[in-house]
Amino acid sequence: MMRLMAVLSGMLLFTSVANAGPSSLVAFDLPTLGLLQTADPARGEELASSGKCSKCHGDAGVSDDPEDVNIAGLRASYIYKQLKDYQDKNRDDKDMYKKTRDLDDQQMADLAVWFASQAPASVAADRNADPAVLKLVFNGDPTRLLKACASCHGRDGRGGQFDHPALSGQYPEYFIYTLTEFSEDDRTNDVYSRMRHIAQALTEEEIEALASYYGAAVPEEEE
Amino acid sequence: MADPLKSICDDPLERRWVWISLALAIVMGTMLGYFAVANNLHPPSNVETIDSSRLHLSEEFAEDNLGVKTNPDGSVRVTLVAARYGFYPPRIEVPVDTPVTFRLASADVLHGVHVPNTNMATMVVPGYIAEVSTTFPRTGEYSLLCNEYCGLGHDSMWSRLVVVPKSAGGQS
Amino acid sequence: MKDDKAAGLALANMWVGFIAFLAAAFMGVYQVAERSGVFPAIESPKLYFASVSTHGVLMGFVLTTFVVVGFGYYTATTSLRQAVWNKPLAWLGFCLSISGVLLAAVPLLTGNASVLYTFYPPLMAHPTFYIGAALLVVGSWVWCLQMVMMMAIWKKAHPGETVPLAMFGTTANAILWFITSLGVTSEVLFQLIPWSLGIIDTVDVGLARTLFSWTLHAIVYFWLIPAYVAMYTLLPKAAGGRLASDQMARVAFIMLLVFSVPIGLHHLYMDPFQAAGWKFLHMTGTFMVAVPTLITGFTVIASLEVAGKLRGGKGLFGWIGALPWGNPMVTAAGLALLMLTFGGFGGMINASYAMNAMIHNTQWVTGHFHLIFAGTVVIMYFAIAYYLWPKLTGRQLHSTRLALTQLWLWFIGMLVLTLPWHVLGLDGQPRRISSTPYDQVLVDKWQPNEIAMVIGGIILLVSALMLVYNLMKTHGNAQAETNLEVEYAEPVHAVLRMPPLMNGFGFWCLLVLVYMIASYGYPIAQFFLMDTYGTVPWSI
Repeated sequence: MMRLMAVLSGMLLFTSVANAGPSSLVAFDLPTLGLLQTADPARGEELASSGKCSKCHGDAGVSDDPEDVNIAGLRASYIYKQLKDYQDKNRDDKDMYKKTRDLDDQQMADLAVWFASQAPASVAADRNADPAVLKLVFNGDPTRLLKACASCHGRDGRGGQFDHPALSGQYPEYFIYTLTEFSEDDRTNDVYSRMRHIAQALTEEEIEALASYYGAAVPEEEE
Repeated sequence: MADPLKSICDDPLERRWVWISLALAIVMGTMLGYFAVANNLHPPSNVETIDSSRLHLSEEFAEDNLGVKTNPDGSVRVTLVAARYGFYPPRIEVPVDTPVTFRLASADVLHGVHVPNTNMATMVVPGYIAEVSTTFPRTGEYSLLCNEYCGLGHDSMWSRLVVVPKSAGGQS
Repeated sequence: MKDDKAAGLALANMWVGFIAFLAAAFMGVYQVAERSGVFPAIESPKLYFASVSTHGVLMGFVLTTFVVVGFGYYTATTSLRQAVWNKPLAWLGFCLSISGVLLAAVPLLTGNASVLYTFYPPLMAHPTFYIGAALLVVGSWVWCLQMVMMMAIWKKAHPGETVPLAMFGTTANAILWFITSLGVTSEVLFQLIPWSLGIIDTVDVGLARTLFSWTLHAIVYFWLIPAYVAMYTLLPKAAGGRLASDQMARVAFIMLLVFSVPIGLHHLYMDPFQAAGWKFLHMTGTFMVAVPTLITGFTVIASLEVAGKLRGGKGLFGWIGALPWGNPMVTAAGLALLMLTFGGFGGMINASYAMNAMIHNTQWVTGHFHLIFAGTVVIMYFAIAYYLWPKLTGRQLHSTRLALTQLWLWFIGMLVLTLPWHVLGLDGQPRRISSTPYDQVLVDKWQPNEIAMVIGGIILLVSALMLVYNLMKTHGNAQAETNLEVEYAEPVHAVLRMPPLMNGFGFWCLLVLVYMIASYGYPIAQFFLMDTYGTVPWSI
């Protein structure tokens, strides 16, 4: 009996892992792109206000608190994907799940275009300009199959089509948190493990250095 | 038998040259045809469509279906996705001297892939599945390089192919 | 009167071509230097790919179209001794084409059309790029119409007479260009322009590439045939001899007209959306199209032998030394034939069906077409310019010595540029990259070739500057040119009556139509018969 239980649960576990399902249900097909095209930033602004997004993301997507997450100026397609992934629980965050649980696709698109239209935070004036970090950003490291960050995220760090997010102007702490999440398989909505491969090849020091290259200026402490 | 070219070509040497040129063209075409049929040597021509905008939601190119699988007859099937800017999964291992069939699809734009010093090469066209088969006669580390302009990050687009001895098996 | 010969049209068109050429030459040096990795300060994918796109458009579409059109008008008027059919229309065509270029230049130079000269979707340029390209082509169709009309009018006025060979070749080229440009024009008009304007959401990339392939091979013959016209009709007399065979020249032009277009799938060997059988069919035609070039090689070299022997050369090779190498046309042709031999062999590799996989989309391909086009074809454009400028301007060529030096520098520079380029391809370097962030093993192997290419590029730029300088100075040359006649070659054996099939194109056009339907009918129709998935626009 015990053996049967063991075998059955083993099979169940196996199939659940083997048929884990896609890491994200979001596809940038015509329906999704149509949704984003017809989205209304004004409606998005209302939703952001009623949803109290400012608590963690600042009034216009840039927070005063360097421990928060800046989302201003991210591409609408990227924001939409993250919201939907939170809703589908393909990106694990209790708070964000609660915020997105009752939104429909159009509303998420509206929010996405509103935040996308906001001005992003600027990169710190004293950003890390160490040759080693610049090499990673613009050339990558062929020995580890690490491609240049700039290849997907743009030479200006402002991101690329659909789901390559802007990195410039993100708070360093969140940057480090995100790459750590990817490297530990805690965040898995990077379809085809594109970021997991990268994060797992980077060292902790490199992640910190990159965070200080892309990072937003940390606002002055309030008295 | 009179040379049919005589009416338009005076010089016997030139007539001979024209026949040689025609023969050259025909011989080369025939040789290529012979080798194509006898050795089943064709460029990738499988004409299969797929929705590239929903690639990860398809069955064949779902995330957990990518990589290297061994068929019952010992041949190997490698399923890869080309997406800006890499081939996924980025590191694959196949056994030496074994027929390998690559199945590739693009998740975004036009890509191309070739592995220097081998016969593995194909275009990867959005909306279509690419299939190319070959055997790797030498173990070693190889690179899959993207060879079609796919955007500003095209230079960075490449991944690793390792050909291992047969006993070691293959995996990704 | 010079005006009756359309000298103005010829000069205007050809100057546009050569100015575009010079601008593109500077970009070429930037590109080869950027990619070598030796000058980190200039490395920038954005700049590189904008440069490559502009360089490709200028060299492949502007230099060529305008020089071919200008040379064509002058050939038509001087060989037929007839006025341009409709001069205002001809100038309208010129204006259309130039507007197209200027329109496309804006997105190209601002990085909004970095889609390369092949502009394969789904990478998308700003709509004005595609509209500009369409205008350039439509403007050139005016020239096609002019050539056909002028030949028709001449034949009506000279019933039963043989159309002068230079015009026969030029008109064959005009018809060829019209037929082949329909492919890219369809792609641009029905797919790319509506798609870039947002009128349609998606394009089928397979259909777009197939339509482009329709144009992609024969366009090189559109560029090459004028070089052959010069070799057949200007070179023999310049060398002091006669044309070995007028009839075989016509056979060559006819074969080029028939076989150039229906073979485009050899550019799609590696694309999975076309079945192997169709690719094989196109392969057979591709080997056939080598035959007219082999014929041309024979006839042109035989003509040179005639000239050499007439000048006292003896024995198997003695005639070579006896040729007037001091004549730029002769030197250019000799160098062109050498480059044609190397480039032609490379082309045969590319054509070889499954073997194409070894070099597809590697730097071998780029090396190949620079050698054969920038080498063979463009050096003949220089020769044509040196020959015609004195007659067009009424002034002597500024410096024959400078011209000869320029031609030799072009040849040497081209070999230094393209031979390492072929090696890079065989060593696996992919095409269309702006840097080499790959395994050090590969990069180290490639590096010496990259350095050599930079040197080649610099030599070519110097040569390009020499050309434009020489032509510019000719305009203001104090010495007048006394010989204003274009001296067309006479055949060794005069032909009393040319069979109609070798004096007109009606039948051959019909043959091309049938051949096109057979070879491209299903490959295009399949996209409408099966369910395909289109792709939305992608930014670079």
